[in-house]
Amino acid sequence: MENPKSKAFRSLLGVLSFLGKYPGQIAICISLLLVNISIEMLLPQIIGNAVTDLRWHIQWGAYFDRNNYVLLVLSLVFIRAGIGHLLGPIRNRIVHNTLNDLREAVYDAMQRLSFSYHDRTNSGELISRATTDVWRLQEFFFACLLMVVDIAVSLLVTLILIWLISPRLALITLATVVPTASLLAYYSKKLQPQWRKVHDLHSEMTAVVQENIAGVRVVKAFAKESVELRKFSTKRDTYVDTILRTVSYWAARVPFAQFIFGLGLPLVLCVGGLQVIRQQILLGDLVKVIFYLLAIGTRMGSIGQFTNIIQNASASAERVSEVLHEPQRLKSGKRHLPLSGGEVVFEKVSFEYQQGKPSIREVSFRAEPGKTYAIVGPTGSGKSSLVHLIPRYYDSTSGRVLIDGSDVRDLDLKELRRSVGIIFQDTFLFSASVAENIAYGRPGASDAEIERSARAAQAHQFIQELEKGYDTIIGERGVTLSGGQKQRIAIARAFLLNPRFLILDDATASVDSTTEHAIQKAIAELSVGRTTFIIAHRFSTVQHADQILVLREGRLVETGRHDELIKSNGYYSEIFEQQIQRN
Amino acid sequence: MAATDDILIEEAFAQKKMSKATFMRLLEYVRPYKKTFYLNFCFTLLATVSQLLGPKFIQLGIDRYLTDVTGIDRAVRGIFLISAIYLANLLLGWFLTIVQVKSAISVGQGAMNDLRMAVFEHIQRLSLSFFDRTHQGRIISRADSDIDSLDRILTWGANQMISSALTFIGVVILMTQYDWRLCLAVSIVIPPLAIATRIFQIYAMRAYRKMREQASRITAALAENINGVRVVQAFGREEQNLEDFQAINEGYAERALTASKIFHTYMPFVGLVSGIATAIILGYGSSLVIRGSITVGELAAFLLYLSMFFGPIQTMGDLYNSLLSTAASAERIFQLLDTRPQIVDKPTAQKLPPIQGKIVFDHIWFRYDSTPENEWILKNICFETKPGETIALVGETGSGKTSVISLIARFYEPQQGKILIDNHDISNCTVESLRSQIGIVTQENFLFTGTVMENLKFGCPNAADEEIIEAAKTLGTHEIILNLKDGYNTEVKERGNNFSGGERQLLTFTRAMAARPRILILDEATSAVDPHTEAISQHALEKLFERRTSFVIAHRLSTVRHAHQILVLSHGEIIECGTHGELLAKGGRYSALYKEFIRQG
Repeated sequence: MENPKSKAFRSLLGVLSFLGKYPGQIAICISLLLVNISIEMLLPQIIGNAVTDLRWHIQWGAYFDRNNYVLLVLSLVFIRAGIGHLLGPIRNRIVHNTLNDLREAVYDAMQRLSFSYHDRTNSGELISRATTDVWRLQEFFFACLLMVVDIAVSLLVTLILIWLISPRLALITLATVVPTASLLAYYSKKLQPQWRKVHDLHSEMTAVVQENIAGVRVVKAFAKESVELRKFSTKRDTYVDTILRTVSYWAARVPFAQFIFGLGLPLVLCVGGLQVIRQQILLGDLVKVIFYLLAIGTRMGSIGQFTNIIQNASASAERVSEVLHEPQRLKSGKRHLPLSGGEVVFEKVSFEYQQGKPSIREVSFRAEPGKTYAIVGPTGSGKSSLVHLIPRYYDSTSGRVLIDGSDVRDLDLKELRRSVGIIFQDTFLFSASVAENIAYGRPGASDAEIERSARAAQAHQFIQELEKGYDTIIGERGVTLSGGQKQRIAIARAFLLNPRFLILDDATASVDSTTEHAIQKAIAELSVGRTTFIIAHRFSTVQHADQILVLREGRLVETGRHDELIKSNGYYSEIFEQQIQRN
Repeated sequence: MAATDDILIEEAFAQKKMSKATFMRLLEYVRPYKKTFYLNFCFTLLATVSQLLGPKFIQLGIDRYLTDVTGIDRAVRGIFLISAIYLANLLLGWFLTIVQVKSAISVGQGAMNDLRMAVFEHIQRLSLSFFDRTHQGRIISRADSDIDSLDRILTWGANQMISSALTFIGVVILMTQYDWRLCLAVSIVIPPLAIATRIFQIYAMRAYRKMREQASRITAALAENINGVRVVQAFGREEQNLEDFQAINEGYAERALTASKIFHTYMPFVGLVSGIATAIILGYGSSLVIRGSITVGELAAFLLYLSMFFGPIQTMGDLYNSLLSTAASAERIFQLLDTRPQIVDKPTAQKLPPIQGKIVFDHIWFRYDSTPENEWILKNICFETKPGETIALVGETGSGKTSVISLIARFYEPQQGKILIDNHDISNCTVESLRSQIGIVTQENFLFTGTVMENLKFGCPNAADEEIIEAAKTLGTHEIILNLKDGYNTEVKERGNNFSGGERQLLTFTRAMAARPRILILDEATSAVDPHTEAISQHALEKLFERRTSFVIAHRLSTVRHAHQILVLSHGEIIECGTHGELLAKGGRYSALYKEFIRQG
């Protein structure tokens, strides 16, 4: 077992290494920052010296040239402003370039991870890793690039400068700064889980609202508004309780840390004052120390903030690294597909979706080029798993899947997948124009080609009737299409690839009869000259297949034509009878 | 059409400025916490004064004891005393801050939560027609992000406003007391600073908005490609997608850079202004010291007060911005609260006694709010059912089937005509007494998060587990539920997405059954399920229809055939009505539809 802390630390370092691409810019950034810190350290010196000179001028008429001081201050603050103006955008560039690198790495990892990874990982969870977690790391990068250097250097230099004036005053400073910093770090560490809880409770409360609105028809149908109200107010009460408790914790402690730090000023006034009275230090020196304390004060608040950022970031870094280092990627083979063909051979193929639970058991068959194969069987018999092995969405656990003589694992993955046109059970379209959706597999396709595919898929008609025709934006953020319309666009999308193989994963589930008719026609057209696999529940679809593969609990129990299977009086004819009876 | 309207409404809101009326209405929510609010005001005032005193102590120490060379003993005593007072003041400040923070948060959270409850409560009261015409996401964001965005103003707004105003005024007063000429000289920097702050805020707000827009584009692109990852891989689009994603990311970095340039022009400018003010104090102040108008300690105090001078200006500008940006949220919330529910119990409404099941539609004319004038969804619908009958509604999409069943549950009210249940006009009954006797199963098969058992109890929260199991056994769904991962305790994920369509359907059947409705309303699912599930749901339906008046929008042959009455609807009218045999013999629209049914198999 690895120590979780060291794992988090390693993840942080891993994420931090993304900064390594920009060493020059980082060096410039830090040097500019150091110049500005120096200027800030100089200002109290000038003020203190001015006070000293002024005193001597008044007491003994010593020479005092105020223009010197004014010019010095003005030139320093102008330089500081100039550097600040330069520094910000440089730092911003570095952080955002790094973040882009990171986000793209995460994104690319996600889109290349295998189907089985995506099957067991909640997509919302993945999305939050690529968004929320990466945003959190943004703070971390900013903090690492500036805050750390700023806090560390300013504190150290200030302490040295105070020490040079009076070691005793430096000790007082140290005695207030160290406990304050540790207290603030400690409190924010304690507070963080509490804030997270507040946040979680807030999401829970929001979830109740969302669900209530999404299910409003059910709520109204059962007349259960008052129950919902109670549910909500319970959640709300816990939320309010927790947030008040958390803020009380904060209010009782953080001001205490600030108070401890505040003690520095009266103590310095007292001890330093005594030194001035005893003429051990000059009044101007005491003024310097006071201004230095002010400068530290503005940085003290950042310490708690920094602890927070590190804590957030280490959790996020871990979640991001997990995705980046997830081993579940399929390796592409090198062999190219022969120019023509269309044969699929399953050789004793078994596939375990979950370990110990085979969903395909020793299936062997040969599909000839250009023919249509229907796959039937009850839910859970392995129909989808079977067809998903062909474009290598999953790798078989044992046995081989051969396409035109080559094991799919030896074939170039992209080429293999593009040779298979698939129409999924749930039609997924992207928020883009109709044309872009159809050309999804071939972004460079011409308008004429897109239209030809749409016509073949029986989709041209309704697309033209849309407000902007092929340029209509569809998907989540656009026009809502009916299930049948979506399916026909998915068919057109598969058509444009001109695939050698065609897979229809139960495509005609829920559409009215006219639409179904159109879809059937489109599929018939699409399957001409392609090796086609159809999963369907309706016997009307299945009857015309060249061959029917009957699956039961992952085994291929029967194969043959419809009439042959009916005659043989086996499992197929049994389920066929059942369906006839019900109607 | 409706969608464009929505966007226009949204844009109109975004343009809105905080009106006085809206602001006053927000304040209404603070009123119940008046006492705490006044307490907070007092403590904020005291805390600010305590903070302002700090430099004063330093000035007094310097002038009275450190620059005065007469009598070391007196000076030592004096410096001890002044430091002790300073320390006591800090202690007081600590205490004041605690009370200040706690009272501020309890006012803010109190008001926020009252508002939250008011919105949620109101949403419960609104009628379905509101949910039809308003986008779901929009309603959710009002109950959620719009309320959250008021947090800053309601919780910290008053507090920060008071403390920054007091600090600013206090600093000016203290400076003027020392020397009004120097104070005036330093004040030269305020106008450019205030102007720069305002300009900055306008530009920054724009820049940050653009950043947020692009950020949401990143999220949208990610979400879509991860949800559709199977299609991405099936079509080999990985490289192209990465390129597109890089472009969106680059766009974000560009916008972030613009925002950063604005920010890093403003912040160094503030630093510059404060540096100039320091130079003024050093230059002009030292000559005042030489002339004897002010002391060295006062010069130092001026410099110390300078650091308190700029914060309030920035904070106030910031608050003004928040006030502007929350105006839209507040307006949206109040608009929601002002939406009147269309279906409310009449003051004279009576409870509907236990339903026998005789239902009469008496010359019903109906259209939705969104339906154009002169067009009716239902035209002069008349029919009557006997208790216990099953009535099948058939007809093409848009013929008005769903409207008929929605009217029975009084989700909408007809413009003309009456609906009678056991001779009671339902518009004279309480909604609760009516709906609690009606079981409705829609195609969406919506389930709530929680356990399966909790879902089944949705219509009858007080039922014992045994009663639910009994209902499931009657329907024949008990086995199916036992086969789920944890049986009746299986967790339902968001909207029941962890169940298959067939399972969801059977669960909603069971949920309806458990509530023991007197009238059943069912919109049959069209999607095909596997033969086994199909058989179970067939059986369950027969059980559901037993002994209660049932209305079914029928998609299954068996349902239609066994119905006591079949109503054939077309364009909002009943064109045929009768039993399966009668209608078939007639050879009209129904027999044509029936052939279609058969063909589909």
